[in-house]
Amino acid sequence: MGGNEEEKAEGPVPKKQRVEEPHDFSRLPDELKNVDFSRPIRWGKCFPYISDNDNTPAPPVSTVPVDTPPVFDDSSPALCHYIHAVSGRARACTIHLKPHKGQTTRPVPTPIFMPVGTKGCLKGLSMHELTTDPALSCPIILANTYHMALQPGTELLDEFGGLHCFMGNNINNETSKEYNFNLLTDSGGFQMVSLAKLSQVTEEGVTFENPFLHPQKGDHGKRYYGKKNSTTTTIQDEAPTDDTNVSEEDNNNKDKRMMLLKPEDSIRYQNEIGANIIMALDDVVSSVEVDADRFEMATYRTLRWYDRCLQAHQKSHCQNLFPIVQGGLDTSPGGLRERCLAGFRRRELDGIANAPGYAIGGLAGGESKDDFWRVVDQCCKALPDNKPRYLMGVGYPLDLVVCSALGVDMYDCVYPTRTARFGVALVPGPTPGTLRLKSHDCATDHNVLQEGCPCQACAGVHKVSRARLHRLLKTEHPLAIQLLTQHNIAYMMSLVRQMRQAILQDKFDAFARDFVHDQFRGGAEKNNSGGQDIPVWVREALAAAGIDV
Amino acid sequence: MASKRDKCSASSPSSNDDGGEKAVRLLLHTVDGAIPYLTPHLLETCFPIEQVKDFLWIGIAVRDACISPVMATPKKDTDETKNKKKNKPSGYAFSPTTEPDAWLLPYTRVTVPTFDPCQDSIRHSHKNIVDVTASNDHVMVWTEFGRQTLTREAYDTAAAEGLQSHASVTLFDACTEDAKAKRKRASLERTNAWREETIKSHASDGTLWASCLVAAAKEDQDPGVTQQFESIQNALDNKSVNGVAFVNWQTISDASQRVSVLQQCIQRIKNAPTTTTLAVLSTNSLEQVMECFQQGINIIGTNLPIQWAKQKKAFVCDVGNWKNRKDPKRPKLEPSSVDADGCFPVDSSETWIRDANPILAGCSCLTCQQHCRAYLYHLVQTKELLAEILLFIHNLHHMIGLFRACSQSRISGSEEELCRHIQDQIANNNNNNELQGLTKH
Repeated sequence: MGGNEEEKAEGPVPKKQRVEEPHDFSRLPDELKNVDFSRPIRWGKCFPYISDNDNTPAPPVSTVPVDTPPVFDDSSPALCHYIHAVSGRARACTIHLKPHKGQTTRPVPTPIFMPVGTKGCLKGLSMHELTTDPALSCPIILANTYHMALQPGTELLDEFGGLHCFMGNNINNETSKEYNFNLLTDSGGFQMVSLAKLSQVTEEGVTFENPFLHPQKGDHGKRYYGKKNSTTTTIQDEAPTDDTNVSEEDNNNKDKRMMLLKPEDSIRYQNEIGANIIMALDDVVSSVEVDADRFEMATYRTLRWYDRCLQAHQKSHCQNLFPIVQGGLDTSPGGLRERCLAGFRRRELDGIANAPGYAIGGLAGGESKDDFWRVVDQCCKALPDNKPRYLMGVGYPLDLVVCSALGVDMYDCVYPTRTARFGVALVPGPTPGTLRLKSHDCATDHNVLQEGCPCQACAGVHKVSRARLHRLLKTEHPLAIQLLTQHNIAYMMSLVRQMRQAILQDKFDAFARDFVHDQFRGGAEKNNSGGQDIPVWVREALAAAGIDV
Repeated sequence: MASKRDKCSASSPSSNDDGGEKAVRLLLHTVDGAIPYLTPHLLETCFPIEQVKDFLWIGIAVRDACISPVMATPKKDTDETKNKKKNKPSGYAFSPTTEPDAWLLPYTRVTVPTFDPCQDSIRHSHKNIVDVTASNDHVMVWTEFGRQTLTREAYDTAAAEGLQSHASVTLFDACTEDAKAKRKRASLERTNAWREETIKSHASDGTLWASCLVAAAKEDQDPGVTQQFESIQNALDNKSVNGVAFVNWQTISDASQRVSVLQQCIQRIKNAPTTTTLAVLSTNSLEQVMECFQQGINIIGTNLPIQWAKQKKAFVCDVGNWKNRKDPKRPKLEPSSVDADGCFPVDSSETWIRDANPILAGCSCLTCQQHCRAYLYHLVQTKELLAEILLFIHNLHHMIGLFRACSQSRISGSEEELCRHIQDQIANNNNNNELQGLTKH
């Protein structure tokens, strides 16, 4: 009741008021001025969480059978989210996404790990393998808007009917079997951190120095091959396509070639890319940044930019725009995370926005694990249960187990694929759960990477030994990278499938306990169970999820 | 022990199925005993054994497939540091017991010492010179792990027991064309001796191909050369070997000389049974492949599909319309700049930027079925490994198509026509940098 009163008191705020004047970036947005931060921000909660308005248990979650067909309605025209079971705070859901042109729908079972195909492909892995190999069978992958906008250009992707068609469908071939997969694109905001030296954030947007146009790269704008002309205001000072008459002055000018990414641009790019799930542009600040004012400014800007993204979104009937919760590591009552959450809640209650899902951003940037899990915990407690929750940039297996226990549904990370390229395989067992295949130990190790793994390297009659992979890595044979990438993705997919199974059987607590004890075996020789070395943050995070390790 | 060779469904190198001696097969060079870019899943999907067994054989070089680490025996392993040292290989050496990758077992595998000893030497030598040496006991082979000694016994064991190949080429000591006469003579003598020894000790369950040093064959009067061909002829007559593998032919730079040398070699073993396999272990260009085919070679070894994929080139030479070249109703062809190998350089083909067509219309490879030129161009521009993977799948598939066409034309007696068709394309390209190779959509 109190909550409703609070909402009434706050009242709907006209959109125009949300765009603040440049000198006011650190001022609390008007729509948050009347929010009661003495109580935790939360909305749309079900058991085991407490209700939105008081401290009584929330109503039970309504679950549906696993094979329930999707229903897309006006309130959520491109996403249908079903919860099948909960085990503690962990949940097994299915996300049905509006199929891309001509495709059949491919449901996304959660918890899910989304491999990252930055430039429209997974490094060393064909779409055929990714979608048809049962060990992988990835229903959704991630692409980076920033990179796709540079190469090949989203205009070109739009011509092809979107990235789905560009990646895996020969549109002129009648016998072609289109690969069936979903796509998620980030907004380009992450590059504010990863390319921090090349970017500058203003209220208008993010200005990147185009890394591909730096004269030292010697590329002279060749990367803009996908753009027909340079009329757009986003990419300023289009580079010449002819290298023949490049003067020193031109080279100096290239230093100044900047790419301005506005929220409107980000959405336009993502509309052209055509991913099933797109992200609002957020003001990402490195989680290890010490400037508190910068975090505050970024949090409010993220809310303002979300409004601009909503306005710019042209394909809400087929693409789902997820806002991103920011706010640094401030989980205090009324802190930045709560203010960001309150902002989104306000917009939902006012009917300004009806986000089909929410993302938790600003993490996995080097912050302490203690800070990390507390942010995840707070966001999961606050965000509505009838919508998917996506934790951005997180992909360590232990993190997936802990965060799934806290209620996260979706993850993405380059870790499994990148680490494969360094010759490291993900394996169960003591932390860090990796096997460095280039090490001398593997030179004569004739075991497979992981017994029971269904990947091409480990399963069936093919079985590739560690020694063989070591040997192939030594000579930089591409097959080694391909097999390791497959193994690591198969490992992640297997992990999320196991988690889902455990949740469906309401045994997630036992699964999490076993997983943690497998990773941390300290003290096992003294009392058989091990686990003496389980980090405090794991214990505390799982305890917050109701799991005692 | 039941041999893995017996269990597989590969076609036997000595069998006469699919047109017998008229079949022309591609001997694809492996790298480190594996086909680059083809994972087990991709190999099974794109090149199922039932569809390619008559045209695709796998060439495995002991040089790179059978190198294994040698572990030093620790003197004492008392402390942790020494335990760590124990795991470090003290070096690498040939291991005759190395087994082939399991997913290659269904395919016909041919073992060779090395495909191109001179090229190996250039690749690994700091001085960028050919340095191929040998003694009567062994050849020195350049590998990724330095120069290694390969003895005849170790090689034969690797071929027969470790790699369990369907066919193996006897060990040879190849030298360059411009080597001194003494060196050439020594290499011939060694090769002859090793061939004789291998024949004597060879088990009957595998196929043996006699190695024949091609470059030396030009020296008509050399007693070593005469001995080489006499020895091969005897072995063929006695059925001790089933084929002849011509070594180092690809190093002859002049095309007319290559053809004439190959003709001479074949002429010298003209009394061989008609079922004798004639193999050229390595070819470096499409032109060389067609020369081999024209001279009646059955097995043509090459790593061109791999090389082209690395160079971001797509093999698009027209291999399907040779029968109706003069048919006015033939689909109109689109001029396109391709190189002397009938390949399209994807990285510089800006016309592909917005091209939604497959690499080659009508091509049934996975790449052409599922991906368009624009996507491939994008992958090449972004330097993705997937570009090489997809290009390799197409190149190998299309190369197999070429070998299928070669076999058909040999059966139908229209070899000349096919050769002219391919050579016309290459010649057109050389003259005009344009080739009428791609059918228009």
